[in-house]
Amino acid sequence: MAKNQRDKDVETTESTGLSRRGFLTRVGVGAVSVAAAKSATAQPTSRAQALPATELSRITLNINGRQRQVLVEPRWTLSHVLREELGLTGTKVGCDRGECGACTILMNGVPRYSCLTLAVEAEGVEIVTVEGLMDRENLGPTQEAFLTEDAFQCGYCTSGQIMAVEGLVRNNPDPSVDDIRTGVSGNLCRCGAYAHIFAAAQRAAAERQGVGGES
Amino acid sequence: MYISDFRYHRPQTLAEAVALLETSRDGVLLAGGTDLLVDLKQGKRFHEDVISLTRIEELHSIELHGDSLVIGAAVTHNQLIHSPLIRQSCFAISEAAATIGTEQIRNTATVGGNLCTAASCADTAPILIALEARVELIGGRGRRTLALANLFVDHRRTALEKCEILSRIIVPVPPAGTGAAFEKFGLRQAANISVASVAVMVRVVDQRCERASFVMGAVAPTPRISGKAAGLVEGRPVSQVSEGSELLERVARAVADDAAPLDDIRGSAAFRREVTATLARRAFEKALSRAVTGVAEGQAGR
Repeated sequence: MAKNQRDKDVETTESTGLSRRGFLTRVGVGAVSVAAAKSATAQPTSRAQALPATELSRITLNINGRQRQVLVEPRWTLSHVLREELGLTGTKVGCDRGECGACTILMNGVPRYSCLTLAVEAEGVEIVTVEGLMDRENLGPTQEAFLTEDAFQCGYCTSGQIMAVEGLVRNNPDPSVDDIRTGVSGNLCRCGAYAHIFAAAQRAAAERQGVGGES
Repeated sequence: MYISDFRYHRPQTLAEAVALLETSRDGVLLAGGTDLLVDLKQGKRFHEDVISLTRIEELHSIELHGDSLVIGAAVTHNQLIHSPLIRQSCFAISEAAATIGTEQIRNTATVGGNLCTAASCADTAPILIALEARVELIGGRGRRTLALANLFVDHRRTALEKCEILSRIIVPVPPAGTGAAFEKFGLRQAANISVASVAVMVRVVDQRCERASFVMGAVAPTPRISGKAAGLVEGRPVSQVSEGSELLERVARAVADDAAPLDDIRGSAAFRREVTATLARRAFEKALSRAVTGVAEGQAGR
């Protein structure tokens, strides 16, 4: 609840420039935090930017086409901020150390592990999460391909698999089976749905090329 | 998994980054973070200051300067793989980068990070050493360059001084008639840590091997150069070292003899030595064929 409240406050700050939390932050920790928040949101200048260790600093993240302001500690990973601060829980955390792939998102169009990326490092980067593949209320083509090919069992790895495939087909419109294996090699599926995942990847590529996915 | 607190710095220039290192008690550089963040999460290390390299532009480019390929330290493995400049002039670098980690890791981890972490199994090191790369180090007292081979002091120890930053890798573009190749053996295809690896460079002039270099990875605390093998090859006509020749077997054995492997979870020392000989033979055959034909198979690929 505290987190939802914080999120709301950030949005409020955006619109009115004056929220209760923003006010408390400024009064409570004083000039240091104001300076930090300023430096974090400022455009790159010739001076090094620094964020303090134990305080929240405001950063702006470009997520699914929207600029989102969020208060973060430097040590928070992007997966944490997406899920716990912004409520984008489509991104899953499995191993939390860059081995399983459940947390895969796109950064500037290529798949990366959001658990191995600090949120502060993602400023200025175009981030796409599985939520960002939706076409309003409808599934996007890659998501639809996973559904059609029944490319999951428990579903926990699925959003990461979908993002890895999305990254693959964006950069390689006609992937071979080997390309697909390489493309999703950073995503583990403990249910073992790999055969269907490969089929879904082929279908996603075909859909993208507009040939209807008869693979 | 939470990471312990740290101050986060985002310098815009190398000079600022060096200054931050100099003023911090235990500052650490953050490039891709695929090693550092895991260590921080597991509580293996703590730092008061983390200095990000993301905004230092010169670290992110791949350029041709005269006869040298200049690779910024924060270039990712996938940038190495897909760079037309690298694929054309030093295809084996792309080849080696493609064997590392997974797609997500290759989009994140950097070549400078791979070198400076200095794990004995680092896969970009052998090929870069074989191609006679140098590295540029920047510190408070200015710039110096070092043969990459001399960067490695021990497993996870480099010749970098406390406040120095590896800024660029400088690879002389191999002249025509040069072939290079990288061969690695691991226990699987993806997220694959080398059990042994061998990079070979050979230069053929008038059907004679004028120069050769054999560099092993993962079979010693640092990347290891086999001088013995190079000595056997240099000066020989191509016909004497071709596939199946007795000399080639001796060369492969010489490389394996120069290894100093350990027993560990990925393989015994004896096994590593055997694998090293096989990899050396394969890598040499491939490099020689590339030197003679001037083409690396797969070079034209995506």
